[in-house]
Amino acid sequence: MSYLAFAPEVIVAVLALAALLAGPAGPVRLRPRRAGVVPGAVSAGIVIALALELIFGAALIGGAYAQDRLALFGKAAALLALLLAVAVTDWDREAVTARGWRPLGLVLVGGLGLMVVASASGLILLWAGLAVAVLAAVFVLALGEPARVARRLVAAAAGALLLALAGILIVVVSTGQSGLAQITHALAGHAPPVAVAIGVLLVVAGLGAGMAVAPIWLGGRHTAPFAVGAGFCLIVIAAGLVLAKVTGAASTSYPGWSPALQVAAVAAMAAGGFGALSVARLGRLLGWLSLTQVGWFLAALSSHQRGGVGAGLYLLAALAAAAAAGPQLIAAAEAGGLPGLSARQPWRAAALVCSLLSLAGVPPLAGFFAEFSVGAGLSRSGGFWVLTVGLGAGILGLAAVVRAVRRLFLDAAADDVRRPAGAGAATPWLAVVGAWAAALVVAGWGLLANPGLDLAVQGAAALGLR
Amino acid sequence: MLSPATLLEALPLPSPSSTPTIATFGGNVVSFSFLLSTMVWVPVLVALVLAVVPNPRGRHDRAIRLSAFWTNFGLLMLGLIGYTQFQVFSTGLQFEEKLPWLTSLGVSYHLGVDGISIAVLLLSSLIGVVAVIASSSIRERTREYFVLLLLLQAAANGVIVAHDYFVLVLFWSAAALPLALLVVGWSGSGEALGGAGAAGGHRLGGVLPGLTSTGLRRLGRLLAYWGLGSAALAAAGFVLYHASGGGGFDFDVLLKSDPGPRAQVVVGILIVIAAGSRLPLFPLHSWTKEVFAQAPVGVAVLAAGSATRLGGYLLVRVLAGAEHDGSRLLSHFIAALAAITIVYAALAAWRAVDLRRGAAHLALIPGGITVLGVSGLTPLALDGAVLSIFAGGLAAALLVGAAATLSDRAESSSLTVLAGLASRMPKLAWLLLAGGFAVLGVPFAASFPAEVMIVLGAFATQPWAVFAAGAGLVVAAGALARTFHRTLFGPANPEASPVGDASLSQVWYLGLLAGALLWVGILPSGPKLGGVPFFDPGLANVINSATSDLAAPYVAPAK
Repeated sequence: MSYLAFAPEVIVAVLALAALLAGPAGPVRLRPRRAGVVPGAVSAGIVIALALELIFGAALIGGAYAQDRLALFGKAAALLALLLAVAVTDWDREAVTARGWRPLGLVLVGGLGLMVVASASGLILLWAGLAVAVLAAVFVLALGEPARVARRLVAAAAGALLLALAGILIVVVSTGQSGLAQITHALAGHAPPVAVAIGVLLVVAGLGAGMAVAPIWLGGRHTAPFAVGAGFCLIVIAAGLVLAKVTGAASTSYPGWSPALQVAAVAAMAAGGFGALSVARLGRLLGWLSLTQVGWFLAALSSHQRGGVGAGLYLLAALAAAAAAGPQLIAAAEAGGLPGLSARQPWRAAALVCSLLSLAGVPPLAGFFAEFSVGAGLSRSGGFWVLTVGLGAGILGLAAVVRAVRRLFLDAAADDVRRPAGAGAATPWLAVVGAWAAALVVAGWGLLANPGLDLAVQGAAALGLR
Repeated sequence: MLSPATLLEALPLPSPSSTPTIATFGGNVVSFSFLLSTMVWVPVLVALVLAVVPNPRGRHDRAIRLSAFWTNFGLLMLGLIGYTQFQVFSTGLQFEEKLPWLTSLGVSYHLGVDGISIAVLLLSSLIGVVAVIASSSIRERTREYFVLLLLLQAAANGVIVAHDYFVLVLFWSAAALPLALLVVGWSGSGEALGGAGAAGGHRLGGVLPGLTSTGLRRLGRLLAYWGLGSAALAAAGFVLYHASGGGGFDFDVLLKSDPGPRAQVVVGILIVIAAGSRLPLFPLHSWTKEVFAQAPVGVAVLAAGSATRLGGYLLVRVLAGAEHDGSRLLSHFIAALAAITIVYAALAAWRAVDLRRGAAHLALIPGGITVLGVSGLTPLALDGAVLSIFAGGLAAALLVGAAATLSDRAESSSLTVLAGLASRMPKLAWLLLAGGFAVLGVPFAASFPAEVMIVLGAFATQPWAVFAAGAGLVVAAGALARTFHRTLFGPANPEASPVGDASLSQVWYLGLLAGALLWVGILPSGPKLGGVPFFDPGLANVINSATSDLAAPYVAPAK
């Protein structure tokens, strides 16, 4: 019965396969009028997988592919982010006819990789899951881009992955172990050898750079917003989980990477805050605010304490939930004109504003709870200078996001301005439900904080952190 | 036959008890232990309902306005019931609610009130009703306006009743967003949102039409100060959390730890920044121009009356109430800030050529008086400081509200245009005079006993600051006399547009403020019938039930 904890992986794999096979390019051809069924079925499948994870995921299963509290938290966060990204998308706008359901299928494959990352208890499997998640994200992004941009994307991802692989191999060779628990045991009580330090720093550099670049990509102009939102979540959650696992395993007795992580965190938070203040387009704002959140996550990792890292994992999930739906919401909102959006499409305006405010750390939304939790972890570990920069970045983010809220809610649409084509098109019911769900999740995160944050802290404890 | 005296003896009046009973809403007749949650979350719920209810072409604007009014009126009634049922002989928390929240951080949803917070909560409830009545002229985006007003009111109530630092930071920070949107969304038409000339100059002006660089500067200034205050408050909490060994954020844990003098000074400075950005204190005051002098009347009244008083409340609650060494070490610095604020406000009001600007400057004075009382660190001064939060809120709201209403009706706030209005606007003229006098602390106004207590209490410990504040009040009196003489009693301006006196709703809201000021000023200990308190336990008594404990650490032991 306890192996039902792995049922979500099976469901996601089946959904991914079905989505890859469906559509004009695949062997299963759906009639156009049945096309709307696919995202609905995928959403329902993810909901079932999430429910199974929450019901049966409490089981503790050891081995190379383990089920512990970190796996439970990571898998649940990944499924929630995927669900929001799929459900909130206006699939009538996504160009599914030309590319079939391949973007959806690739995202689900990436989700499967993410679940592998969450459950992996060894470095090799960890890297394999990471590679699947990141490459799936990059391919789905590349599908909607010109060949030149696509090549650059793949090259950048490959570079980051190879850097992380090199680091992982160095750690494995120098410790003679590949299991995370074994590495922790081998390094216990003394500073790690130089080789291990170099290996971990390579992992931090590769994945940290990936996490920092992803938000900038998130803020760009894209033709397929679903791919951008879902791809961002895949990259950030996968890289974040791997970073937490590797730094956690290699530094339970020696927090030697703290300065590097703190510098990266401060740079990301400061750049995110000033960047958010300097841009006007909502997409860019979303990207810069997400970068600030990445900075908070890196700061949490630098605390090297159960509470701090747990808060970081909690923040990662909050970031994914807020950013997953962002690009789709922004694309749909901009298509109809931003002023007066709240009057025309209140669900979309509410979800978009909740996402942006959450990323800016405005109470009482998800980002505020997460940032406060990380702040508490940082104060326990004495990282006050990082905390100061984070609080400063929060002020900048607030100022930036208030402008956007004013634009969406207080500026009336000019009736004499002709609406862009398609602005008045009916929105599919799933996108409406998805937008409401995104708003509720981000707004209700504080109410869910008690089980959510506790689970994340238990996940950090599973890494061996005290 | 029973005599009145016998009847009074039969009344269940509060009496000293060795085992004080904690008040519950309804006097244990109606079991209703979530009074405080009701006062915090009902405005939020009503705001959410108003936000989603369809309102095609503003058809339901009147219903929205009425919903906001009755919500705030209900909150005032609840506040009054809580106030009258408050056990003045009990020093602990009353109407307490506690639920575990973020257990791994030691955060709980912990609400409760003592004598200090119930007084400030009563102020907030009263100001909430007044602000809605003062907003009756809002015709543009009515729904959004009242939704934001209700959210601001909820955030203010949340700060007052919070007994957990996390809850305090949450509501403190949450107030910034609705106020910023109210200011940028409804602050006049031309100047407030920037003129056409500003549109092209700023990069954002072209992309976000309607939010030009003037509007951005104002928004930026308000958010910079309020954001700085929120960040400082959070940072103070983290310092305390670190110093207390990460035990939790509940006040009973966090504020009862002894972090040592150095940490207390750091916390004290951060709390002064947080409080100073709200009250505001010099030099964190420049946002008041936008809010007190340019925002709609209702927003200005709410901000001057309750939202800004939270700064004084924070100083009393966290700094004077918990960080005793820090308070002592910083007392001269705080006293100097208070004196500078009062003198600056008086001089700025003297130089003002705009009625609303002048009133906005004078509205800084009650905050300075409160802080002077906090710096005194004597039982009398602290008592006065808490009373001045209440009285100062009413006085500042009355002055700012009357100035704004008069300017609106006269269609100008320039002192070169406004002249001789007393004969044409007698009601408004008297209400404006009452506001000015209340800010100065004349007898019969609630601010009078507060100022007397502060001056007498703080003179022993901060004589120079008291002297400077007194000099500032003299200058402020001169500024008021000059302004009133020109505006109200000078020769009428024949070129000014004809104006009428205040409308009924305007008289109502300003009269409520003036009436409350007089009531507390004349009867600070409540009315008594046959020597027994009668229906009002007396604001001074309620406040004193908490300040005696608050001031105990600062009382030198008898030799």
